[in-house]
Amino acid sequence: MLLIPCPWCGERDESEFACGGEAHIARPPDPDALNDAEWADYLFMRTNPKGSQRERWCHTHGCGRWFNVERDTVTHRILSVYRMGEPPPKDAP
Amino acid sequence: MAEPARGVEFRVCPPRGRIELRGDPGDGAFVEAASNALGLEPPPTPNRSRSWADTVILWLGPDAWLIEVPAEAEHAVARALEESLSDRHASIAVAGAGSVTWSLTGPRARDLLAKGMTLDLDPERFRAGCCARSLLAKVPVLLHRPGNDPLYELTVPRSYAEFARDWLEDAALEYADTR
Ligand SMILES: [Zn+2]
Repeated sequence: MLLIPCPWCGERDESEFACGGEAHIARPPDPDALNDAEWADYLFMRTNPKGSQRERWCHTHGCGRWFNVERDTVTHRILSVYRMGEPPPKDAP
Repeated sequence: MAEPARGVEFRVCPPRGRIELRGDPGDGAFVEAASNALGLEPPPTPNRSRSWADTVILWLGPDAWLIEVPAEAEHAVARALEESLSDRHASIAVAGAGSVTWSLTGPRARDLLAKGMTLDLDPERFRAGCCARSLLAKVPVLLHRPGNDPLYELTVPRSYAEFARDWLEDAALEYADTR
């Protein structure tokens, strides 16, 4: 079980949170301009890295806020946490 | 020999008025208008409550608070907020009947809650004036520590109240006659 540091509430148990998948996937500004393959790529295809990944999490059963978590998908170690709209604390190497 | 005491006492609190208030705490005019209507400034600090006279304001989120007032004052306070905040971006919802509150007290109250919660209940960290939304036995709850008597107030959505009561009664069995 992960202990996730909510930017507002501090460390809380994973059971209070919901994971929203990979972060920083921008909705295409003009969806009509995309073909089916490009739209499917936006909707379904994810990086799925082995190692550091930036994800969206929601503190559903706490303060109700969405925020970003940078997590290592191998070790589950949480590398950083930052609010929506904030830049990641450091750029990926 | 001292009379045996229950390790934990819990009982349903009388109905109370509740109003959910949302707005931007960075908007000075919002804070001022809300404070004028309530006689108390909504606490900006996460997981803290603030109280004065009959009014308690609990932090629910960065832009959300729960206001507790006597049941008979609920609609008057909501109306005062609506008038005061009429030209601000804000949300006011009367919610008193939506949930049930238990007060818990006694030397084993913390142990009882800890059986079903992952929240850090260390009395040095979850001090008087702390509040948090979390889960108790998978039920979404709002836990408040108003002071030392009662130690805790546990607010549960009304639809979960029967389950929560059964859970509390069962979990408290082992503390029935201990100090
Ligand atoms: Zn939170």
